[in-house]
Amino acid sequence: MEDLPKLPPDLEKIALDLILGQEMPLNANQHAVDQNPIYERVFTRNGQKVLSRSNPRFSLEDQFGDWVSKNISTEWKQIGVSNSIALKGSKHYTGDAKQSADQVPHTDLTRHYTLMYLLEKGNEDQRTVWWQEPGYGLQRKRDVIVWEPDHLEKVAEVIFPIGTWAFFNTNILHNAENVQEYRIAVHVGFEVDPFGVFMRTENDLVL
Amino acid sequence: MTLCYKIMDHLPNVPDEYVHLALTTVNDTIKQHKTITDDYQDQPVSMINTIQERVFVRNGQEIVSRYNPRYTLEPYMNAWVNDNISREWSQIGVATSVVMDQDKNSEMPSHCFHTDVTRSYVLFYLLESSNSDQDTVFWREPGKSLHKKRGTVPRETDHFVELDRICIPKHTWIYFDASILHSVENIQGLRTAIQISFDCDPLGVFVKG
Repeated sequence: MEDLPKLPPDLEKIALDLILGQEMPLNANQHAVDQNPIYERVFTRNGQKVLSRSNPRFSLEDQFGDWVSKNISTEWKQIGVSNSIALKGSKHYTGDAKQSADQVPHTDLTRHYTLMYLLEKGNEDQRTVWWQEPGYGLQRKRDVIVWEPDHLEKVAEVIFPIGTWAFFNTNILHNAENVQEYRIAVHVGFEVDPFGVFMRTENDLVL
Repeated sequence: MTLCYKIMDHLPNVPDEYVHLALTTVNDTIKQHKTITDDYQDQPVSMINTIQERVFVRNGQEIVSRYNPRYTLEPYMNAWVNDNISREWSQIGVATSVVMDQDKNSEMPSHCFHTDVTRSYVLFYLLESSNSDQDTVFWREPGKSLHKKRGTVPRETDHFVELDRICIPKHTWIYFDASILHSVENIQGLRTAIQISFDCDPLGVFVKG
């Protein structure tokens, strides 16, 4: 969504200060992350148990709400900043599964579309991948997690650039892959598609 | 043209046993109440939406909207819906249209403009209606987004533009986008429907695949 304005530097700084000010992984009393908590998710890939990366997200609504409503859309539901973290070796995980550089494929719990604005990433080739499960529709209900994802069929894949809004459908199974270190992003979550990017018209049905 | 709804007449009719169950649920939990009070939300059958007082202005006059309490059918219908409709539903329920004072049914014929609170899309299956000319109407506020956030209830609506309307037939599945502002007009009394709610569009009608 290159037509959308870039985040002003002062807001970028607020987001980075907020996320980098967190002890990572979060300590116990920071568990109540209001938008996306830390999940311990072990899934099976190529026959091996692996530990998903986690993506805790913290609210920026008080600081960003007016700017987003004026410059992006008034229809947002959540605004937050997240980072991708490894749980292996932390107090959150004491099991023996190997830490994966990938998230387990999932649909989101709190939103149906998101505008994501990458601020920083630890390695250039972090991929966002969308999947379809054979026998199921492309659009899935909230909070679907595919614990044994080897049979999923890849639908699309992209490397998001830094400093650019990317709008995607979080009802389609997706994950971030090859995240070797950090992946810090601002998210504007929606329950609707206010831009009409993903919506059909009657003409589409005729065609 | 804006796609607001689609008639899904290829989907199977609801079996009689569930139609009966839905109507019994409504009769047992809703119709016994003459007025809307908190006890609508204190029933043995779980309520799956909320009743909020909604007042809107039409032609300069304040109008009190009708209400649409909805009760779950999930324990009974989930397997049938999974097998015959979709596994991606978020709610299954039966709703009926009521007013604050049921003696004034015909004086309050509208559900005001709104987007739904609990869902983005809904499959709607009308069971009963008091009059056959009840219209579901879709609207857009000029200069504003077509798709509005959940629970949007504009107060002043005279400047809104009508996008489309449908008089929903009985015993036919109608699938509509509940994030487009919509109203229901000319309800003279009864309007009872089974409703399957979705957070996503598993039927691929509204969202590009």
